[in-house]
Amino acid sequence: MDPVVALYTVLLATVLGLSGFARSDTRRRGRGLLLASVLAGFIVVAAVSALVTATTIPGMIVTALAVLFSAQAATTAFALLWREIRTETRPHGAASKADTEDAP
Amino acid sequence: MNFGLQIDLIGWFALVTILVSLHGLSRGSSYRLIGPRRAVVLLAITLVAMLAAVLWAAGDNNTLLAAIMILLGVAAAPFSARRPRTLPQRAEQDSILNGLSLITIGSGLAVTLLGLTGWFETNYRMDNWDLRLIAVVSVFIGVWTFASGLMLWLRLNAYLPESAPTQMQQRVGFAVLAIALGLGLLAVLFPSHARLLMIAMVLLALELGALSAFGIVITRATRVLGRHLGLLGAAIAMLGYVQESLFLLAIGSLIMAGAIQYLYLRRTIKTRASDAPRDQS
Repeated sequence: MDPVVALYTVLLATVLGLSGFARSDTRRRGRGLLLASVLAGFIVVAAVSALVTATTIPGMIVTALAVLFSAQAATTAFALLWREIRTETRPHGAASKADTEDAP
Repeated sequence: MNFGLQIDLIGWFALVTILVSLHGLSRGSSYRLIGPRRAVVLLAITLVAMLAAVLWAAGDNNTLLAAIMILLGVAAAPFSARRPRTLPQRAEQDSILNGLSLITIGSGLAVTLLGLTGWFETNYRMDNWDLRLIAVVSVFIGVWTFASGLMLWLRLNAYLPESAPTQMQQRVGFAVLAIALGLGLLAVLFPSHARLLMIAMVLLALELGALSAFGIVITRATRVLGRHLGLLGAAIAMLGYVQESLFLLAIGSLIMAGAIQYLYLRRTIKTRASDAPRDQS
Protein backbone atom coordinates (compact mmCIF):
# COMPACT_ATOMS: atom_id res chain seq x y z
CA MET A 1 0.00 0.00 0.00
CA ASP A 2 1.15 3.50 -0.75
CA PRO A 3 2.25 5.03 2.59
CA VAL A 4 0.87 8.44 1.58
CA VAL A 5 -2.60 6.98 0.96
CA ALA A 6 -2.38 5.15 4.29
CA LEU A 7 -1.37 8.32 6.14
CA TYR A 8 -4.17 10.33 4.53
CA THR A 9 -6.71 7.65 5.48
CA VAL A 10 -5.47 7.53 9.07
CA LEU A 11 -5.52 11.32 9.33
CA LEU A 12 -9.01 11.68 7.89
CA ALA A 13 -10.50 8.86 9.97
CA THR A 14 -8.87 10.17 13.17
CA VAL A 15 -10.18 13.69 12.60
CA LEU A 16 -13.62 12.31 11.72
CA GLY A 17 -13.60 10.20 14.87
CA LEU A 18 -12.39 13.06 17.07
CA SER A 19 -15.05 15.46 15.78
CA GLY A 20 -17.74 12.78 16.09
CA PHE A 21 -16.82 11.73 19.61
CA ALA A 22 -16.42 15.39 20.64
CA ARG A 23 -20.12 15.94 19.96
CA SER A 24 -21.16 12.86 21.86
CA ASP A 25 -23.10 12.86 25.09
CA THR A 26 -20.50 13.82 27.71
CA ARG A 27 -22.46 12.19 30.54
CA ARG A 28 -21.64 8.75 29.11
CA ARG A 29 -17.86 8.69 29.20
CA GLY A 30 -17.74 4.98 30.01
CA ARG A 31 -19.66 4.16 26.87
CA GLY A 32 -16.84 5.68 24.77
CA LEU A 33 -14.51 3.07 26.21
CA LEU A 34 -16.98 0.30 25.45
CA LEU A 35 -17.46 1.60 21.91
CA ALA A 36 -13.70 1.59 21.38
CA SER A 37 -13.53 -1.99 22.65
CA VAL A 38 -16.36 -3.03 20.30
CA LEU A 39 -14.54 -1.44 17.36
CA ALA A 40 -11.34 -3.19 18.48
CA GLY A 41 -13.30 -6.42 18.08
CA PHE A 42 -13.06 -5.90 14.32
CA ILE A 43 -9.52 -7.20 14.63
CA VAL A 44 -11.14 -10.61 14.20
CA VAL A 45 -11.62 -9.69 10.53
CA ALA A 46 -7.88 -9.10 10.14
CA ALA A 47 -7.13 -12.35 11.99
CA VAL A 48 -9.48 -14.36 9.76
CA SER A 49 -7.91 -12.78 6.68
CA ALA A 50 -4.48 -13.78 7.93
CA LEU A 51 -5.69 -17.33 8.64
CA VAL A 52 -7.26 -17.94 5.23
CA THR A 53 -4.08 -16.78 3.50
CA ALA A 54 -1.62 -18.60 5.79
CA THR A 55 0.64 -20.90 3.82
CA THR A 56 2.65 -22.74 6.49
CA ILE A 57 1.49 -25.02 9.31
CA PRO A 58 3.01 -22.85 12.11
CA GLY A 59 1.42 -19.81 10.49
CA MET A 60 -1.94 -21.55 10.44
CA ILE A 61 -1.68 -22.52 14.11
CA VAL A 62 -0.63 -19.06 15.26
CA THR A 63 -3.29 -17.23 13.23
CA ALA A 64 -5.97 -19.74 14.30
CA LEU A 65 -5.16 -18.90 17.92
CA ALA A 66 -5.34 -15.19 17.03
CA VAL A 67 -8.82 -15.77 15.55
CA LEU A 68 -9.90 -17.58 18.73
CA PHE A 69 -8.74 -14.82 21.09
CA SER A 70 -10.01 -11.98 18.93
CA ALA A 71 -13.43 -13.62 18.49
CA GLN A 72 -13.65 -14.05 22.26
CA ALA A 73 -12.71 -10.40 22.81
CA ALA A 74 -15.16 -9.15 20.18
CA THR A 75 -18.07 -11.15 21.60
CA THR A 76 -17.25 -10.02 25.13
CA ALA A 77 -17.21 -6.39 23.98
CA PHE A 78 -20.62 -6.75 22.35
CA ALA A 79 -22.02 -8.45 25.45
CA LEU A 80 -20.72 -5.69 27.73
CA LEU A 81 -22.08 -2.91 25.52
CA TRP A 82 -25.47 -4.63 25.32
CA ARG A 83 -25.55 -5.00 29.10
CA GLU A 84 -24.57 -1.37 29.61
CA ILE A 85 -27.41 -0.22 27.36
CA ARG A 86 -29.89 -2.44 29.17
CA THR A 87 -28.81 -1.22 32.61
CA GLU A 88 -28.97 2.36 31.35
CA THR A 89 -32.54 2.03 30.16
CA ARG A 90 -33.77 -0.08 33.08
CA PRO A 91 -33.42 2.48 35.92
CA HIS A 92 -35.21 5.11 33.82
CA GLY A 93 -38.18 2.79 33.40
CA ALA A 94 -38.12 1.83 37.05
CA ALA A 95 -37.86 5.46 38.06
CA SER A 96 -40.73 6.59 35.87
CA LYS A 97 -42.83 3.70 37.17
CA ALA A 98 -42.04 4.70 40.75
CA ASP A 99 -42.88 8.31 39.94
CA THR A 100 -46.27 7.37 38.57
CA GLU A 101 -46.94 5.14 41.58
CA ASP A 102 -45.99 7.94 44.02
CA ALA A 103 -48.09 10.47 42.16
CA PRO A 104 -51.44 11.26 43.80
CA MET B 1 -0.08 -10.86 2.40
CA ASN B 2 -2.01 -8.91 -0.14
CA PHE B 3 -5.62 -9.59 0.76
CA GLY B 4 -7.03 -6.15 1.33
CA LEU B 5 -9.57 -6.71 -1.43
CA GLN B 6 -11.11 -9.54 0.59
CA ILE B 7 -11.69 -7.22 3.53
CA ASP B 8 -12.63 -4.17 1.49
CA LEU B 9 -15.13 -6.17 -0.55
CA ILE B 10 -17.92 -4.74 1.59
CA GLY B 11 -15.62 -2.57 3.71
CA TRP B 12 -17.04 0.76 2.58
CA PHE B 13 -20.64 -0.31 3.25
CA ALA B 14 -19.48 -1.65 6.61
CA LEU B 15 -17.81 1.67 7.40
CA VAL B 16 -21.04 3.57 6.70
CA THR B 17 -23.08 1.26 8.95
CA ILE B 18 -20.43 1.55 11.67
CA LEU B 19 -20.58 5.35 11.55
CA VAL B 20 -24.39 5.27 11.70
CA SER B 21 -24.22 2.90 14.68
CA LEU B 22 -21.68 5.08 16.47
CA HIS B 23 -23.94 8.06 15.87
CA GLY B 24 -26.84 6.19 17.45
CA LEU B 25 -24.77 5.03 20.41
CA SER B 26 -22.93 8.20 21.31
CA ARG B 27 -25.56 10.91 20.83
CA GLY B 28 -28.10 12.21 23.29
CA SER B 29 -31.63 10.96 22.86
CA SER B 30 -32.80 13.93 20.77
CA TYR B 31 -30.23 13.60 17.97
CA ARG B 32 -30.25 9.88 17.29
CA LEU B 33 -30.68 8.42 13.84
CA ILE B 34 -31.36 5.00 15.34
CA GLY B 35 -31.80 3.77 18.91
CA PRO B 36 -28.90 2.28 20.87
CA ARG B 37 -30.20 -1.29 20.79
CA ARG B 38 -30.67 -1.21 17.04
CA ALA B 39 -27.21 0.33 16.72
CA VAL B 40 -25.62 -2.59 18.60
CA VAL B 41 -27.53 -5.08 16.44
CA LEU B 42 -26.39 -3.20 13.32
CA LEU B 43 -22.77 -3.34 14.51
CA ALA B 44 -23.04 -7.08 15.14
CA ILE B 45 -24.60 -7.67 11.71
CA THR B 46 -21.79 -5.62 10.13
CA LEU B 47 -19.13 -7.72 11.84
CA VAL B 48 -20.80 -10.97 10.79
CA ALA B 49 -21.16 -9.70 7.20
CA MET B 50 -17.48 -8.73 7.11
CA LEU B 51 -16.45 -12.17 8.36
CA ALA B 52 -18.77 -13.86 5.85
CA ALA B 53 -17.32 -11.76 3.01
CA VAL B 54 -13.74 -12.66 3.96
CA LEU B 55 -14.57 -16.37 4.30
CA TRP B 56 -16.52 -16.34 1.02
CA ALA B 57 -13.67 -14.66 -0.84
CA ALA B 58 -11.19 -17.18 0.58
CA GLY B 59 -12.94 -20.16 -0.98
CA ASP B 60 -11.95 -23.47 0.66
CA ASN B 61 -8.65 -22.24 2.05
CA ASN B 62 -8.76 -22.83 5.85
CA THR B 63 -12.38 -21.68 5.91
CA LEU B 64 -13.54 -24.52 8.13
CA LEU B 65 -10.72 -23.94 10.61
CA ALA B 66 -11.53 -20.22 10.73
CA ALA B 67 -15.23 -20.90 11.32
CA ILE B 68 -14.46 -23.38 14.12
CA MET B 69 -12.10 -20.92 15.81
CA ILE B 70 -14.67 -18.12 15.59
CA LEU B 71 -17.33 -20.37 17.14
CA LEU B 72 -14.95 -21.45 19.91
CA GLY B 73 -14.14 -17.81 20.67
CA VAL B 74 -17.83 -16.89 20.76
CA ALA B 75 -18.53 -19.84 23.04
CA ALA B 76 -15.76 -18.75 25.44
CA ALA B 77 -17.07 -15.17 25.67
CA PRO B 78 -19.83 -15.71 28.28
CA PHE B 79 -17.18 -16.72 30.82
CA SER B 80 -15.47 -13.34 30.47
CA ALA B 81 -18.66 -11.26 30.28
CA ARG B 82 -20.54 -12.87 33.12
CA ARG B 83 -22.42 -10.68 35.56
CA PRO B 84 -22.24 -11.05 39.33
CA ARG B 85 -25.42 -12.43 40.87
CA THR B 86 -25.71 -10.08 43.82
CA LEU B 87 -24.93 -6.62 42.71
CA PRO B 88 -25.18 -3.10 43.84
CA GLN B 89 -24.25 -0.50 41.19
CA ARG B 90 -20.56 -0.59 42.10
CA ALA B 91 -20.31 -4.34 41.48
CA GLU B 92 -21.83 -3.81 38.04
CA GLN B 93 -19.11 -1.27 37.19
CA ASP B 94 -16.44 -3.63 38.50
CA SER B 95 -17.78 -6.45 36.36
CA ILE B 96 -17.61 -4.20 33.26
CA LEU B 97 -14.02 -3.28 34.16
CA ASN B 98 -13.34 -6.97 34.65
CA GLY B 99 -14.71 -7.72 31.19
CA LEU B 100 -12.75 -4.85 29.63
CA SER B 101 -9.51 -6.15 31.14
CA LEU B 102 -10.28 -9.61 29.70
CA ILE B 103 -10.92 -7.97 26.31
CA THR B 104 -7.49 -6.32 26.43
CA ILE B 105 -5.94 -9.69 27.35
CA GLY B 106 -7.54 -11.42 24.35
CA SER B 107 -6.91 -8.57 21.92
CA GLY B 108 -3.32 -8.21 23.13
CA LEU B 109 -2.67 -11.90 22.51
CA ALA B 110 -4.27 -11.67 19.06
CA VAL B 111 -2.15 -8.64 18.10
CA THR B 112 1.01 -10.39 19.34
CA LEU B 113 0.26 -13.51 17.33
CA LEU B 114 -0.58 -11.52 14.20
CA GLY B 115 2.63 -9.51 14.61
CA LEU B 116 4.64 -12.74 14.88
CA THR B 117 2.88 -14.10 11.80
CA GLY B 118 3.70 -10.93 9.91
CA TRP B 119 7.34 -11.25 10.99
CA PHE B 120 7.79 -14.87 9.92
CA GLU B 121 5.48 -15.03 6.88
CA THR B 122 6.95 -11.98 5.19
CA ASN B 123 10.58 -12.43 4.36
CA TYR B 124 11.98 -10.26 7.13
CA ARG B 125 15.54 -10.39 5.81
CA MET B 126 14.51 -8.57 2.64
CA ASP B 127 14.58 -4.82 2.27
CA ASN B 128 11.02 -4.20 3.47
CA TRP B 129 11.81 -2.27 6.63
CA ASP B 130 8.25 -0.92 6.99
CA LEU B 131 6.81 -4.44 7.38
CA ARG B 132 9.53 -5.33 9.88
CA LEU B 133 8.83 -2.17 11.85
CA ILE B 134 5.08 -2.90 11.92
CA ALA B 135 5.65 -6.50 13.01
CA VAL B 136 7.97 -5.47 15.86
CA VAL B 137 5.66 -2.66 17.02
CA SER B 138 2.65 -5.02 16.88
CA VAL B 139 4.43 -7.59 19.02
CA PHE B 140 5.43 -4.88 21.51
CA ILE B 141 1.92 -3.39 21.70
CA GLY B 142 0.34 -6.83 21.97
CA VAL B 143 2.57 -8.07 24.79
CA TRP B 144 2.31 -4.77 26.70
CA THR B 145 -1.48 -4.77 26.37
CA PHE B 146 -1.73 -8.43 27.35
CA ALA B 147 0.42 -7.94 30.45
CA SER B 148 -1.43 -4.77 31.52
CA GLY B 149 -4.83 -6.43 31.05
CA LEU B 150 -3.72 -9.48 33.00
CA MET B 151 -2.37 -7.39 35.89
CA LEU B 152 -5.53 -5.28 35.99
CA TRP B 153 -7.69 -8.40 36.01
CA LEU B 154 -5.62 -9.88 38.85
CA ARG B 155 -5.90 -6.63 40.83
CA LEU B 156 -9.64 -6.26 40.21
CA ASN B 157 -10.20 -9.79 41.48
CA ALA B 158 -7.99 -9.17 44.54
CA TYR B 159 -5.39 -11.79 43.56
CA LEU B 160 -2.73 -9.09 43.94
CA PRO B 161 -2.25 -6.76 46.89
CA GLU B 162 -3.09 -3.06 46.73
CA SER B 163 -0.15 -0.89 45.80
CA ALA B 164 0.44 2.83 45.95
CA PRO B 165 2.27 4.32 42.97
CA THR B 166 5.61 5.92 43.68
CA GLN B 167 7.79 8.32 41.72
CA MET B 168 10.45 5.64 41.41
CA GLN B 169 7.97 3.21 39.79
CA GLN B 170 7.18 5.81 37.13
CA ARG B 171 10.86 6.43 36.43
CA VAL B 172 11.55 2.70 36.15
CA GLY B 173 8.54 2.40 33.82
CA PHE B 174 9.86 5.14 31.53
CA ALA B 175 13.33 3.55 31.54
CA VAL B 176 11.93 0.12 30.65
CA LEU B 177 9.80 1.67 27.88
CA ALA B 178 12.84 3.45 26.42
CA ILE B 179 15.01 0.31 26.53
CA ALA B 180 12.27 -1.85 24.98
CA LEU B 181 11.72 0.66 22.15
CA GLY B 182 15.50 0.82 21.58
CA LEU B 183 15.72 -2.97 21.35
CA GLY B 184 12.78 -3.01 18.93
CA LEU B 185 14.47 -0.42 16.75
CA LEU B 186 17.68 -2.49 16.72
CA ALA B 187 15.65 -5.57 15.73
CA VAL B 188 14.26 -3.63 12.76
CA LEU B 189 17.64 -2.29 11.73
CA PHE B 190 19.56 -5.57 12.17
CA PRO B 191 17.17 -8.40 11.26
CA SER B 192 19.94 -11.02 11.38
CA HIS B 193 20.15 -10.55 15.18
CA ALA B 194 16.46 -9.94 15.61
CA ARG B 195 15.48 -13.12 17.45
CA LEU B 196 17.47 -12.39 20.61
CA LEU B 197 16.56 -8.70 20.53
CA MET B 198 12.86 -9.47 20.19
CA ILE B 199 12.92 -11.96 23.06
CA ALA B 200 14.51 -9.29 25.28
CA MET B 201 11.96 -6.72 24.06
CA VAL B 202 9.06 -9.09 24.84
CA LEU B 203 10.39 -9.66 28.37
CA LEU B 204 10.67 -5.92 28.91
CA ALA B 205 7.18 -5.37 27.50
CA LEU B 206 5.84 -7.92 30.03
CA GLU B 207 7.57 -6.04 32.83
CA LEU B 208 6.29 -2.73 31.48
CA GLY B 209 2.73 -4.08 31.49
CA ALA B 210 3.12 -5.22 35.07
CA LEU B 211 4.56 -1.84 36.07
CA SER B 212 1.90 0.20 34.28
CA ALA B 213 -0.93 -1.74 35.92
CA PHE B 214 0.76 -2.05 39.31
CA GLY B 215 1.94 1.53 39.56
CA ILE B 216 -1.54 3.05 39.63
CA VAL B 217 -4.33 3.30 42.12
CA ILE B 218 -7.10 0.97 41.00
CA THR B 219 -9.55 3.84 40.47
CA ARG B 220 -7.41 4.88 37.49
CA ALA B 221 -7.80 1.48 35.84
CA THR B 222 -10.07 2.93 33.14
CA ARG B 223 -7.27 5.28 32.12
CA VAL B 224 -4.92 2.33 31.57
CA LEU B 225 -7.65 0.50 29.64
CA GLY B 226 -8.30 3.58 27.48
CA ARG B 227 -4.60 3.93 26.68
CA HIS B 228 -4.30 0.28 25.66
CA LEU B 229 -7.45 0.38 23.56
CA GLY B 230 -5.86 3.32 21.70
CA LEU B 231 -2.70 1.24 21.22
CA LEU B 232 -4.83 -1.63 19.91
CA GLY B 233 -6.35 0.83 17.44
CA ALA B 234 -2.86 1.76 16.27
CA ALA B 235 -2.03 -1.93 15.87
CA ILE B 236 -5.21 -2.52 13.83
CA ALA B 237 -4.34 0.44 11.59
CA MET B 238 -0.86 -1.01 11.07
CA LEU B 239 -2.38 -4.40 10.25
CA GLY B 240 -4.54 -2.57 7.72
CA TYR B 241 -1.37 -1.17 6.13
CA VAL B 242 0.22 -4.64 5.95
CA GLN B 243 -2.96 -6.27 4.62
CA GLU B 244 -3.62 -3.33 2.26
CA SER B 245 -7.07 -2.74 3.69
CA LEU B 246 -8.41 0.79 3.93
CA PHE B 247 -11.24 -0.49 6.13
CA LEU B 248 -8.84 -1.66 8.85
CA LEU B 249 -6.90 1.61 8.57
CA ALA B 250 -10.12 3.58 9.11
CA ILE B 251 -11.34 1.40 11.99
CA GLY B 252 -7.97 1.56 13.75
CA SER B 253 -7.95 5.34 13.41
CA LEU B 254 -11.50 5.59 14.77
CA ILE B 255 -10.46 3.55 17.81
CA MET B 256 -7.46 5.82 18.35
CA ALA B 257 -9.75 8.85 18.10
CA GLY B 258 -12.14 7.31 20.65
CA ALA B 259 -9.30 6.60 23.07
CA ILE B 260 -7.79 10.08 22.66
CA GLN B 261 -11.20 11.64 23.20
CA TYR B 262 -11.84 9.47 26.26
CA LEU B 263 -8.52 10.34 27.87
CA TYR B 264 -8.76 14.01 26.93
CA LEU B 265 -12.35 14.29 28.11
CA ARG B 266 -11.45 12.74 31.44
CA ARG B 267 -8.77 15.36 31.89
CA THR B 268 -11.03 18.27 31.00
CA ILE B 269 -13.76 17.10 33.37
CA LYS B 270 -11.17 16.64 36.10
CA THR B 271 -9.83 20.12 35.40
CA ARG B 272 -13.33 21.55 35.48
CA ALA B 273 -14.00 19.79 38.79
CA SER B 274 -10.80 21.16 40.31
CA ASP B 275 -11.56 24.60 38.94
CA ALA B 276 -15.08 24.68 40.37
CA PRO B 277 -14.14 25.20 44.08
CA ARG B 278 -11.65 27.87 43.02
CA ASP B 279 -14.39 29.68 41.10
CA GLN B 280 -16.72 29.52 44.07
CA SER B 281 -14.09 30.95 46.40
